[in-house]
Amino acid sequence: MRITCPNCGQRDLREFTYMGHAVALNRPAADADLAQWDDYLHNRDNPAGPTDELWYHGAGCTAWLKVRRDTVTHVISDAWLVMPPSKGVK
Amino acid sequence: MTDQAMTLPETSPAAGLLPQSMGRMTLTEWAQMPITWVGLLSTDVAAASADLQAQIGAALPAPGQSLPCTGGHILWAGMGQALVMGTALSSVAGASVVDQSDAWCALRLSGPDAPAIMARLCPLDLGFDQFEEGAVARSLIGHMNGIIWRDGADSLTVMVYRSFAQTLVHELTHAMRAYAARLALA
Amino acid sequence: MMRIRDIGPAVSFTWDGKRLQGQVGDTLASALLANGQRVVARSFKYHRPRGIFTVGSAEPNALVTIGSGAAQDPNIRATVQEIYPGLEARSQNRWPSLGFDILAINDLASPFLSAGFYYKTFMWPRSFWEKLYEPFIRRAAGIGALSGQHNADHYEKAFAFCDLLVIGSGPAGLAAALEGARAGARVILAEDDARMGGRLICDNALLNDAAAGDWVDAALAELAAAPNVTLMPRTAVTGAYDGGTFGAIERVGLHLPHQPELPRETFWRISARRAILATGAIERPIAFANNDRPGVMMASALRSYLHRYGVAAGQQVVIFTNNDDAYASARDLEGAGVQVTLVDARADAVAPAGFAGRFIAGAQVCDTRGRMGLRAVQLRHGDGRTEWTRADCLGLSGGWNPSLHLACHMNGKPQWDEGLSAFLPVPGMVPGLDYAGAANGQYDTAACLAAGQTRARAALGDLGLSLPAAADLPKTPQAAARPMLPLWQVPGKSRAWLDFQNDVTTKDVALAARENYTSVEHMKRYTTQGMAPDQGKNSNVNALAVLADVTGRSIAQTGITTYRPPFVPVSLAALGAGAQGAGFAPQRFTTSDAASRAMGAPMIEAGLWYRPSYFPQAGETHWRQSCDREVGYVRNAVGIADVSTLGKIDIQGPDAGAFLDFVYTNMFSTLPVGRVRYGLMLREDGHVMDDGTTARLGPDHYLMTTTTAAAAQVMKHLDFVRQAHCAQMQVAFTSVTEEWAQFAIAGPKARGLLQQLTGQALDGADWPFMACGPIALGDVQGRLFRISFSGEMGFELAVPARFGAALFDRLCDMARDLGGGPYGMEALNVLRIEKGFITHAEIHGRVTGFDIGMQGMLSRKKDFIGKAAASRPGLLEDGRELLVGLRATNGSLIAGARLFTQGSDAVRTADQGYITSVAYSPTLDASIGLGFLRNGRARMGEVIRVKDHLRGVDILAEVCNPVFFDPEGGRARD
Repeated sequence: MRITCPNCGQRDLREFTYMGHAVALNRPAADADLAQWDDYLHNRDNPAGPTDELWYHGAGCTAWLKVRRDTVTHVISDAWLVMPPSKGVK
Repeated sequence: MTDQAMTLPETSPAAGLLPQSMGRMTLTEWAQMPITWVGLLSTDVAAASADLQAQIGAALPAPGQSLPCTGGHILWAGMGQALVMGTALSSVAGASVVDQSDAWCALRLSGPDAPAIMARLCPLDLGFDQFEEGAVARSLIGHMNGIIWRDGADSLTVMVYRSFAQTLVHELTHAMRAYAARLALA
Repeated sequence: MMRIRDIGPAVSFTWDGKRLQGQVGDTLASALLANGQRVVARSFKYHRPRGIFTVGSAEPNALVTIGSGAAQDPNIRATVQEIYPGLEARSQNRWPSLGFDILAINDLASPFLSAGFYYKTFMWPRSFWEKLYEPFIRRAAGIGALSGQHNADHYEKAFAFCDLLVIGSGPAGLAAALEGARAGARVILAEDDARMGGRLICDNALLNDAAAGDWVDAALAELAAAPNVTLMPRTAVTGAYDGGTFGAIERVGLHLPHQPELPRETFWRISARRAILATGAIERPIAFANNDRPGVMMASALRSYLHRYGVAAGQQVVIFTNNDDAYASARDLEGAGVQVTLVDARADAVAPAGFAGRFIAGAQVCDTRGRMGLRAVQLRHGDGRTEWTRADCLGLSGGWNPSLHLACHMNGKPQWDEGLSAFLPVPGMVPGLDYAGAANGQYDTAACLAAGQTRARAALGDLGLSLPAAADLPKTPQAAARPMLPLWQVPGKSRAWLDFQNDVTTKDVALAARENYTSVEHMKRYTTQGMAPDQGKNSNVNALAVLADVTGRSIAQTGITTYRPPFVPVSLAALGAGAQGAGFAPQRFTTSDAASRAMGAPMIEAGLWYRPSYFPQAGETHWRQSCDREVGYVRNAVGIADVSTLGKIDIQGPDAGAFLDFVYTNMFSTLPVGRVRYGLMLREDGHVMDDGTTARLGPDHYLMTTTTAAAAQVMKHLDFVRQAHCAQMQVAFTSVTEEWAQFAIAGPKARGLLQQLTGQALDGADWPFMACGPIALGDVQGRLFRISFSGEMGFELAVPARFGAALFDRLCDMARDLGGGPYGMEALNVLRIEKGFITHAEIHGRVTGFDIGMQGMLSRKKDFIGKAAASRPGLLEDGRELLVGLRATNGSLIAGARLFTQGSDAVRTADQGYITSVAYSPTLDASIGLGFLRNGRARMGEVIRVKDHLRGVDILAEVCNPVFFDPEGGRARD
């Protein structure tokens, strides 16, 4: 499997580590009720098809990426930086 | 009794291990030089780029690039990061500046077989027709995170953290030896 | 069998200890045939004598052991092993010898050893299994054997990249590679064989009215000269994976006498933007009674041995075929002076022009004789009449199976083509992989050449390359082939073999069906057909055809099992290249490592780092003596320890304080400049991730420390928090673990040592407990932190790493002058346990701040990672296991022991907790430890039971304050 990192280009999977579903980006407010936090921490959809997940390019540029992957075909169709890219650098 | 006139001898990361030559290839250690890590504080690069231009004659490189600058070169080194090789900086506008002169083991692999040697260790396409002069990449060397920089027509500089020096020398010389043996067959 | 044409200079090798002559260019198989060796192996289950069956990679019978000593290599196909001077080869699976093998008695017991016998035997009595049956089966099972010794040979793994990977170098592959070369694409042409050319160098074929080899040579010369082409002979592509990745195993040194520095094999990961499967087809046999005798071979192999190796595999050859392709073998052998009988199962067959041997149409071979080598075959004519005819070699051809395994590796199923009587690959099974030639059911040379060219041009066009005019393809003679007659098995009473390697016969498949294992997946596992090292290359299609027949289904309905990588056996040495022993992981060494080892310190692993365990002195015979002494250094004088391995993260920016407030449970934006504070870091689920101290070096400048083994994990976490949750903050951080060599200087005399070293007073007013700041050692700019992990007056001194080795030596000398010296991890651990300081032994991933008594550090005023989840009632309830100290009353504590109320049974349901860290404390002369005990904070003074069921420890201990020594903490402060 290869992931196209927006900074580094297409890279071998061994440069990345996986965290989990991209819902981890949507952190509830500190005072949100515990049911919301339970969902955020523990409950996930499990589609047979495209899903958005988080990968860390730890052996590369150290960017966190949101990656769209098809759980049936393993095809990776897209990858975005979690943090908006630097302005002014190509 | 105070010891104010004390001097502490220095040890380089790969002390005693290099240089080594095998086949058409040579592996040497860079002489110690100032290395400054520059990290953008935000996604706005303008202030940092302008200040670097003023201080060392080069702006922040784009991902995968290096630029010549005062004292040596400035290398892209990751998300919003650069390494200034050869000059110590104390501050850069809009950026964090950290001395990393002692953090790195920087080795130069010279000779026409450099891409073939690295093919044993690195999952990148480092062929000289693909990885141009001045190109920089962060990737794996064996199981070590590192920086690969094409710093010459037929040389690659490989940088890992200092404590990995022995492992890096071992991996590179092992690959050099095996490749030289393969070439000797032809 | 004999050599009828020399192919190269003579080469000596040994076979079962006997010295034989081969020629340069021989495989072991061709050399054995040239030397008249008919029996080369004993079959897996029945130990039947077997001979060489094929000429290439799919060989099922001739598995041999190459070499001796540590690097002895079992189960090597003799048809792939090239001979070299001094090659040592031995037959396998026979005792005492190939000629007389005692386990051939299995053949007589065959009615009891049919498919699934092991589900029905060796069951009773139960006690016999472990003592008798299993050891016997284990000794009898398997074919070849490893030496069992460490193999010091070199193997390699490597990466390669290309635009076009061409798999196979027959006519289709060469045509494809030439297109890629001329288009300027980066081409890799991989060929399993040592020589490129495929069937063109094995058949007596003509291209452009000249020997096909001429065109092959010219094509290879052009490819070798092209700088954008990499030729990889002796390289078998083993697997197709996601994203255009292919695995391949290259035999680098296996065809040469041993050279110490040359890798024996290289395992490649090839990243190809497009690929062409030009792997050809594998001829399939026909099943009939006793079709497995030495001398029974594949018809196409007979002509390969003749043309490529100059060896005639027999003098009286019968060819049994259902198709036209085998006619070439008949003609070519006859042309070499061999007596040939050509038997065609098709009733309407006609003898080939110019064939002078005996030709029989509409007949079948139905039995053979000759246990140690074929002597005769039995023919059944169309009218039912049978006859025996003398033969020393029988060439079979039941048709051809496209070699499409790689195309199926991503779970695609091939499609049965009724007209061709073969499975064909389906487009798109592996994205980016196209098919050309016999691998795609195109069996004539002209079609192969054209397809290789067309499919390559299509792939290159897909990549956006502009293509020059297509190459001129050589002319091939036209031959009209008549349809084949599907023929899978010939009726007969005796066993008819399908899978030669696992000894599976047509009776086994029929038995499986009778016992209701009618699915092809069940038949495979029940009979073990297709599960041997050859993965059923010669038997899969035949076996499922027999199954289809027996279950009244079509072949298409019966289906085929799944092909998985690797296509050929791959040695674990190649897959694990570079990873044996210390090579398994990178090694990280501190600047004091060499000095520590020179002092005789045994080193322990902490993550990838090596740290000294203790520093033995003359006269000490047990590690406890050293450890106790070193603890004494720190409590009474001054000790030196290298603490460089702890993660150090430099964090700067206007929002650095706010960022730390978010990742730690307690406040850091309020930390004064020049001070250090202990911090607790949680995971988002409220459990402790790490702890450490963070120093404030300037208004916008902090330095965080992490546990040695958690440094990478914490960095990854900080990167996530910054990028996902704090993208608007102005902050940047980087690791400086390696920039600084850092040493703990701990003990009542620590300040004195540092005064001497730095020339500074370092008094309590300027340097209070938990102060930090820059400090000069001569010209060297260092940093000093007044922190203590030992509970004594202590400092940590950091210098740029280039000075680390020299500073460590200097510090140890100065400490010795003060009655102290270096201390290692054992002593460090005793000291911190005496003070109740926790490590990841306690914060092991399942404890919360509340559990370790640090609930007061969870700020109520701000949000932080883990805050909400940590407030879950279940993490705060009564009955949780809480951190306590333990002091043994009648023995020694052991980490991992479970805790029970005194007097209760030591059973799981009464479990009250466990011990995480233990030490003998010379300071207190007691066995002490830390652990977690239900409601522990309310049970101070209680004597509880400590039991380790595994190691037989059962003692009592008193529950106490985890800070055993100096609970007020005065010794570390002024």
